[in-house]
Amino acid sequence: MKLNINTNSIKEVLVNFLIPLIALAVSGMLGIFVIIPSVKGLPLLKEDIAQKAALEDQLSKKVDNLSKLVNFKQVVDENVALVSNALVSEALVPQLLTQIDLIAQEAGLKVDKLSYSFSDPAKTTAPVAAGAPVPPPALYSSVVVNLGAVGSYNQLGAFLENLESAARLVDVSTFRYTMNEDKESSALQITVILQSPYLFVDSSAVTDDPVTLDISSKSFVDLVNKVKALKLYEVSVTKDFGDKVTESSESTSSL
Amino acid sequence: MGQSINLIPQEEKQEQTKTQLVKLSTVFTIILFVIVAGISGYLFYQTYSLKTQIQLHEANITDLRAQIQNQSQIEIIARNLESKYKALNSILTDRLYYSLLLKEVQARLPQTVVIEDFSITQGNAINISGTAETYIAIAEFINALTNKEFVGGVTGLEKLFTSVSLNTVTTESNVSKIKFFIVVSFNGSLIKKI
Repeated sequence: MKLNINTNSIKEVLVNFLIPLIALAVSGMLGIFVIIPSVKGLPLLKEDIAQKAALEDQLSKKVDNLSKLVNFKQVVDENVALVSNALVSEALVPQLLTQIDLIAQEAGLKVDKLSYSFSDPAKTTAPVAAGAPVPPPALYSSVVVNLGAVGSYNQLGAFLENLESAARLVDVSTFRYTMNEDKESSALQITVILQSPYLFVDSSAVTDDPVTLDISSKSFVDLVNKVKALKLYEVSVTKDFGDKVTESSESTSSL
Repeated sequence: MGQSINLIPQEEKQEQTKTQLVKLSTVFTIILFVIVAGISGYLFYQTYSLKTQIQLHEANITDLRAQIQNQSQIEIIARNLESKYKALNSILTDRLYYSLLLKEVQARLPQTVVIEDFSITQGNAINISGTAETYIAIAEFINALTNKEFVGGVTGLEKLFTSVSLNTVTTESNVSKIKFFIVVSFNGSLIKKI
């Protein structure tokens, strides 16, 4: 039996019906599964890549900066020590009062009153008018010292100069002097309100946050040089309380 | 003038038109497919390329994070130093050097004027009370304070005192001296750091 197949008609069906149908279906599928998701997703991918590139750049700079700090570790340690002398981490009131007393004595003032209090960092900012922008709160706490002394005008000037060049920062808030009742004497009754800032810092390593400190920047070097030029008053507190307590208990038991 | 006569039957003409339309639609769908496939290929390549770049960035970020974590000790030291540096900078920038102010007042004080009470008040002002031998001496003192070209004081502080207001003047008859009270305003930024 001979099959009579009309190849022309099959070809026509293929060309005119099946191929266009398949092409149309595939085009539709490509549109739905490739083009539309890609058109929607490309901007997000570009945004993501920009963010990642920025983060990579930031981290790269941070690595460079940290490497630089590691290479200059000795300088960093010296700077830390200098800055810590100027801006101590704790109030250290006895040392502060001793430093102020030493400076006053050095200038020739006779100290007759020395008292202190603590100031709240939130209250150190000046009051603002209604509607005016609120200034940021102070970055540090302060010990407020009230000094009363007797001395001459030149001694007061020398005291202020020495105070301004002391390594542990002590700022003059306000001061007043009056002549003594005995006007023949050149002695002045002096009252100075001082503020000594201190700042406790306890930072933690945050991997993605940049470290912006540049120890070679002009502003940093200038500040370090300023601090270097200050005079350090070595004030130490003896720690022999334990011995004294022992002695006390011994004497009690002997009684 | 000759006329052309179309002898093709109507059915044949319809069949030819149908065939042409079918061919046209086939060509159109194939062209559409080619265009869609091209766009799809381009977008697929773009997406793939961006995803590869993201993976590359992520790998670099992971590597950098590991390096940073290895240097966490120096990072803590740097952050502490930075905090103190910022605070110190702010303190030293805002600091008023009153020793300079005292020197400048002393330089402008006439010999015949004695300051008996000197106090710094809020808002960069000084209350000064004292005695003088003559009214002229008080005027000299006020003029010296307000003189913007004063010579003999600290260099750079010529314009330190911005205004002087004479509040009271009284005569002390028993000692033949004149008591005065003035309020002096000064420009604090000039004694911040020279």
